[in-house]
Amino acid sequence: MSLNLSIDPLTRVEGGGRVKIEVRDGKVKDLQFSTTTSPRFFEFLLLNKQAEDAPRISERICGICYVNHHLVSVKAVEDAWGVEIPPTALMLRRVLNAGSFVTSHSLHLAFLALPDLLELEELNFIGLAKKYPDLAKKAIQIHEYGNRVVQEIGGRVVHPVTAVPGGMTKALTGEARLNLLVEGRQALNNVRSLVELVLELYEKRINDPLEYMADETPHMGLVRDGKHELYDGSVRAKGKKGEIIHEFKPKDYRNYLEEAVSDHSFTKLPYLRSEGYPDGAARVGPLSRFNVMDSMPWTVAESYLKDYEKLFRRPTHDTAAYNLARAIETVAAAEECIHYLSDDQIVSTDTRVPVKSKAGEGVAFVEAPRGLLLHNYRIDEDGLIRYVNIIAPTTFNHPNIERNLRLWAEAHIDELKNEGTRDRALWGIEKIVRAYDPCLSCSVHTIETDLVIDGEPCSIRRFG
Amino acid sequence: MAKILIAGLAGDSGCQVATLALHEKLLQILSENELVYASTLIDAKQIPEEVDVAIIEGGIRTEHEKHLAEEIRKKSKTVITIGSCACFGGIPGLANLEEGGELLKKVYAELEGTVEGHLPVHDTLTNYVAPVGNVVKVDYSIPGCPPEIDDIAYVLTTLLEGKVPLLSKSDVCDDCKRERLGTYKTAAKRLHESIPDPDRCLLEQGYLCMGPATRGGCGAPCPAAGHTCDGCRGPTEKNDDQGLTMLDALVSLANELGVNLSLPRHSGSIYRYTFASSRIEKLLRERFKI
Ligand code: SF4
Ligand code: SF4
Repeated sequence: MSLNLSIDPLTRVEGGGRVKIEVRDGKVKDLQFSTTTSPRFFEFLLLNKQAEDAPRISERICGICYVNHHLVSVKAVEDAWGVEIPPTALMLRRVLNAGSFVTSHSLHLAFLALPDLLELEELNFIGLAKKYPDLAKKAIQIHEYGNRVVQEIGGRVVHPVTAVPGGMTKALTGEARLNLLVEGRQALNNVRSLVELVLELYEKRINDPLEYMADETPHMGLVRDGKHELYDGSVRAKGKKGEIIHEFKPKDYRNYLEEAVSDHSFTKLPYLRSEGYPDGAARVGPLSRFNVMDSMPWTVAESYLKDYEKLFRRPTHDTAAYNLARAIETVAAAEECIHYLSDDQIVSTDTRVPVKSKAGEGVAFVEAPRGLLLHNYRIDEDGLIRYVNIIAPTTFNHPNIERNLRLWAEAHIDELKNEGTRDRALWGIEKIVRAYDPCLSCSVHTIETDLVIDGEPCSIRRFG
Repeated sequence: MAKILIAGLAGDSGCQVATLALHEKLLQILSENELVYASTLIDAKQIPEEVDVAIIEGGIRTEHEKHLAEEIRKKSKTVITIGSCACFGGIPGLANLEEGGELLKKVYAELEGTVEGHLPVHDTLTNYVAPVGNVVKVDYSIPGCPPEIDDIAYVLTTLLEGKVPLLSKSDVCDDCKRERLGTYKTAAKRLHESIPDPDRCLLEQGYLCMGPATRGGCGAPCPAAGHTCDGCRGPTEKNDDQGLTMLDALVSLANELGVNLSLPRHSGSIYRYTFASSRIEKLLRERFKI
């Protein structure tokens, strides 16, 4: 007996994607998770462009992580040119990055994930707004706040413009700063009620361990002095058993990361060199950041971390923890905005230094809401880009999402086979995909394919 | 009660994200109308048979997207393209310096760190990125990368009221608060090299600001934030080719351009969003049969 199931398109996720499952003789024979957003070849189209334009061009890779692409791109160019930016510029960028987490996380929670967690009859944000208008209002205020931060500091709500090599082109006015502070405190209060709701939902349901599942995998994320970090710092990797296996500086990434190329999905599959493929395919994102850090640098977020630890071990491999970690990170991001906005230095007009372009190579990481993001450029003596490598978070997560789904499908095979329970089981699959908050337009060099090669091993090649 | 569809093709969902920033206004529009398809927001898996207003984001990069655009056109009374990818090809159109098969080779086989000679089989890739209007008839366009949130609200509500929305006829300089004195530097400056005077026109200071060649209506937020306009709203009402308009403006401003134009490099400046719908790109294709 053979049965082909597909979820096409995956909905309430960013960008286009689909899942195909082939069941034969009562077993999951094949399961594929693929993105259907067409490839847009950013690694080609950035070539020969002026390096200072990269932050504005490359942010079009993703309509949700644009702030993070904008910032990692400027950092990579600055790394190549050996630029130090003024302290105010650094503070502005930190707030900008944190603001993007507020927007993106609240969007994901309220618009995409909460309808599932609340098991709404109308499974979407419109349904949420009807049934819980107060909650929807709060979610909108939080989302709006993140947008306001990006607009004030980045110059535009979507696709900001202000990060240039050497700093930021726009200073924050005293008035804008005060408004952002007042609105930020309100947003923090609203995020707290959102987190408490999510906590409550988790406490009720946590006895269902099979709900999301996942393999033991390594995890990767930024830390600064061991603490949770979104903008800078070093990359920490923990192994399957939770032990720290590496902590490396961005410029050394080639010593630690390699990319495999899968024969069936044509996604590049980055993995930790020391662990090999597939064991070294690390997960990234809120859950992974919670796994790799020692503690939170912000007090409110730190107190919620204690609640989280009552429900999940740290590190945990359970994909169900993604949504709760995401909610708590929204608190951390709002606190980070408030922290820097409270510092008088943020309104200094000393936000830029002029810089000279020169030949060189630059590497930078930031955390995007969905996980670790890398840009690596080589720039020539005219300041033109000659080589580009970009690894987006969903590229890291892609093989793990597929394995996670397979594991879950195997455990729920009867429900998938039985027509009466099938819809609910397929919904379960979608919930797992959604928990990762994959950004399918973001997976820069991932492309769709229908080619199935059973059991073909992946080819592996080292960098350079 | 109009049936509304939102579909994303070769773009980055940024226009849909901008649309979400309408918040209460969006909820209001959606409560008075019916959202029948929008894969980022609701769970409908199929394009319904009858649609009143279809909003398409993203250009055409694959055969699949071409068919999708055709299917949507067939089933919809009104088709709106939203954003510069759908309207002009957008930034993905910068890849049109190579044809599809070559791109696959370059990014999958020749880029350092990938497997040599290992090419993905992707028969549905089109040779070039095309604006949606090259494939099907488009009734209205909302350009911008992404469009201003107010523009999206205005076009939607005007259409739903049964009226005809009109785009701004001004250019970005008309919106810009920077002062123009009519004197120009001849040498082009790059923005990271020096810090521009905050009040004076950027172009007059020697920075390549696309304001004169770009459709206004955005309020010129980029020059206000200390950066150049990079032309995200595409050509103005009077001109169809943004890059040529800009060159024309440059030549008439300064006798001497001071730059040797090269397409791989300068397409990223004067055609950042509109290369796929430019005359130069058409010429190149005819001349070199690429
Ligand atoms: S060229 Fe740029 S800076 Fe000058 S007026 Fe036009 S938009 Fe403003
Ligand atoms: S100023 Fe130019 S780049 Fe900025 S939003 Fe307006 S048209 Fe787009």
